[in-house]
Amino acid sequence: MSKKTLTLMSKDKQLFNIEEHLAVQSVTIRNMVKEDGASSVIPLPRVDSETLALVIEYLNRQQAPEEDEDYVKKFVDERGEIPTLLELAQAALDLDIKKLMDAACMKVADLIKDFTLEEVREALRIENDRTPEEEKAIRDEFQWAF
Amino acid sequence: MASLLRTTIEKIPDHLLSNIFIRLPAKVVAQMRSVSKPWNALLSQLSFIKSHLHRSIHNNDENFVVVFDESTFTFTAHPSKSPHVKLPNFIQLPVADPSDRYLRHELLDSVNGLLLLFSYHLRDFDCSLQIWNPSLSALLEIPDAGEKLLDNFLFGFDPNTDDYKVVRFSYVGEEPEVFMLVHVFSMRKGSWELTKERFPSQLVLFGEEVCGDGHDGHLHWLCYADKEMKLQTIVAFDLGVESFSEMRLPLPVLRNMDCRKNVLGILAGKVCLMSCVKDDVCEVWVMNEYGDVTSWAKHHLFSQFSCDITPLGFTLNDEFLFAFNNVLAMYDPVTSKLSQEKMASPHQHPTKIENLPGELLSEILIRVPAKPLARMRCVSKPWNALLSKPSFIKSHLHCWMHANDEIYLVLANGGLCVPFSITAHLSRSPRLELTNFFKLPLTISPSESQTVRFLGSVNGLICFCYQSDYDHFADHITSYSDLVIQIWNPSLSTVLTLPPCQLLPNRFSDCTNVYFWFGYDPKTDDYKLFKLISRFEECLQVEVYSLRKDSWGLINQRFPSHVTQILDVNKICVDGCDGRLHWLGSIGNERKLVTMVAFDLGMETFSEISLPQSFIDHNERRCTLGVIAAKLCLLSCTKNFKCEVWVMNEYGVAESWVKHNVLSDLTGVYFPYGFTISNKFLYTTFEDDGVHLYDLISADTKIMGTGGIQRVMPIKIVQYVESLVWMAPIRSS
Repeated sequence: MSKKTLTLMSKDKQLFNIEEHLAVQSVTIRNMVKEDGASSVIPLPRVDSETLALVIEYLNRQQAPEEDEDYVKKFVDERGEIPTLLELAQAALDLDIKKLMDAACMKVADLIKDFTLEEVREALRIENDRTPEEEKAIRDEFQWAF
Repeated sequence: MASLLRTTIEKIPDHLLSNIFIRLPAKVVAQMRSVSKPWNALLSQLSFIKSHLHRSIHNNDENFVVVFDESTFTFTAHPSKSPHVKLPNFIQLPVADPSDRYLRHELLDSVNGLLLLFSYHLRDFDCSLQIWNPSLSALLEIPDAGEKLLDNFLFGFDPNTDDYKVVRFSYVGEEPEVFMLVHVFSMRKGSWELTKERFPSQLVLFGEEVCGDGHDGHLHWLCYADKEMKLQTIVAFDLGVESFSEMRLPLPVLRNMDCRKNVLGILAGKVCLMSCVKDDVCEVWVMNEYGDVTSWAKHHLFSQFSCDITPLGFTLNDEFLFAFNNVLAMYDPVTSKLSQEKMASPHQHPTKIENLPGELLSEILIRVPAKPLARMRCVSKPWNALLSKPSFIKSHLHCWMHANDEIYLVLANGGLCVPFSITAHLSRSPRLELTNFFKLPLTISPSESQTVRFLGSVNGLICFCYQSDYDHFADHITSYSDLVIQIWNPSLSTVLTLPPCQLLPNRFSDCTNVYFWFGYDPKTDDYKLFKLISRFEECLQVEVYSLRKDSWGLINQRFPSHVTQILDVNKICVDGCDGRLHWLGSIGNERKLVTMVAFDLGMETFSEISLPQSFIDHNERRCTLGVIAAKLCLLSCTKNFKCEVWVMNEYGVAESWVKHNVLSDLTGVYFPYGFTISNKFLYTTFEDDGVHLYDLISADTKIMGTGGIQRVMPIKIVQYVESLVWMAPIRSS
């Protein structure tokens, strides 16, 4: 018996094939398949093709359950760039793939935990909205944390 | 005066009136329609609407470049004269429920100030397609038309029929028999219709972006001319007669197609092609005679930007709009002036850039340990607000509490000539002791350190006390002089010293005992320390410290008087998490019967809960309370050390006690401590020094090496949790 294949479409309208039993690791996709099993193409309007390719690679992994955790860790470790990780995490969040989301967020958290404030702002593109005086005041307030 | 003015205006000739009105914003004009019938007639005239539009489009000062950020769904407007100026909230999405985080919006196309807006819901994939006039705040819902998520839409205006049309491209069929259907929605007719002419079958719709521009009644976009997707061509759709035609690209562009990035646009009213030869060189070709492919002429060559640019189009003032490195830029070829704005460019990946969606940000930050996270409050004001939210602190705590590999602290009280000790162990390899795991915050002298007693721990906070005058041989506090009580957050390395209790007898007689329990009440989000003083068999006084109030208060309700002895005062390792403290106590002078007393930390009241019938006579069994899978449980050992676990399935309902497990694998003499958060059973034995972790499912036992400390003094085993509970550090400073 041949396995059923689903086609996923990225935001930039590229098509990706994946076997249904692998795709339903995503709770979002599982719900969609449940609702209308006949639909041949599943649109993912928030995920770009680069990121979707990564997600597909992850969903297609052939790991024994006991090695799975190490695999996910390695998978995100190899994509150590924060912008890629953010895209991946957002996609996993939208698609509701818990392990991947956990690992991608954990990796970003691990990276930024040793950053200086300036580095955190730069990595996540946060604007410093405090004047130097305000910044000094809040740093003094939380001096114990530094 | 007013009446004079009105008569004067009504006499003004229509052409003058309209000359005035075209200078007013659309919203105001719309309101003026109700002034009088002649005005309504004038302002509804097609020619007036056209002139008004024409003027607002070509009025030099009031051109805006509107950028839609797809990650936050917000519009930012930039006046073209001074593009560095950002006008946020210039227009706002007409969304029914802006707080619905699963609702997504896409701006598909725009013509004559009307926007084609596509919204869909991430959970149920409910989609809607709307034509929106932001200047009038008017919204037209386009009736449903099939599986819209897969389709491409274009939006254009046909001046000949004065009609706005939405063109929908949808693929039907399955590979290899896929063909394209084109439907047209006419705003005039209010319905969809399939075009009579079929879309040229040899053409493949350009995947990446379909670029409309229906100003002159034609929509144009790039297509692949062959199935191999090598050759590109322009397809035009006449919105009036609804037919397709094809126009080839300039020959030099066709000759080296491979490495080019092509974008269609309108320059000075003519169709133009922006073609990037290399990443940083962009040619602009203009078709001077519409429809005549021999009239293509190279108009501009932009090579001065020396970066990888993505052309977006031209403004009405012929300024070149393009994006590079997440920057939106506008270049005026006449003055060679370049203005740029760092922003989420609509043609790149918005989430890679600014405005991390709040949900994702929380998911990341709850995984950052407490100490660096405390520092990150200084990153920005919104971060400070997020990190101070009780709901965030709770999620953070929950995330760390249920982390893959829990960390356990073995807290051993100090004793005669033995200082207190704390060791940390991973639940997966508990034999190893983690060194330098946290810094002890205590400024305690060696003699005082022998008096340290751990009173309890909840949510990563540890409560302990020490004093200089102490009875080392008692397993409870018997004197009260110089007693210092502190709450310590090891993950933040912060300590709070509690104020002295209200009633402090200097020294109790020998038979007076003081007990402490520490707990958290989720209802009031408060940490409380419960103090009970008893003498002989009578409870003398109950006092509760509230971290929120930072003060002690006496409890008026008496401890149930028939309970004469509290059992197992030091053994409970997990308690007080659900807002209640629990004790087993024996009843009456004979102390044969056992009952359970609960104290509600929120209401500050006592209640009594019956034990299973077979337990009430405690002489037969040794009982310990615990928590398993968030439910209260009773660990009961018979005289031959067969341990049963009873769970109260419904809180407070005595009939709901159920025998959950019999720990028949365990042999010998052992002392139960309770369960960990991952439901491992903790116990000690006479045979070795360690604390045993017994996995109920795999029946596997691991031993925490504790260097024999628990043989000397009572120990508590608590989970180490990264905890952001801030109150302590802020107030101690």
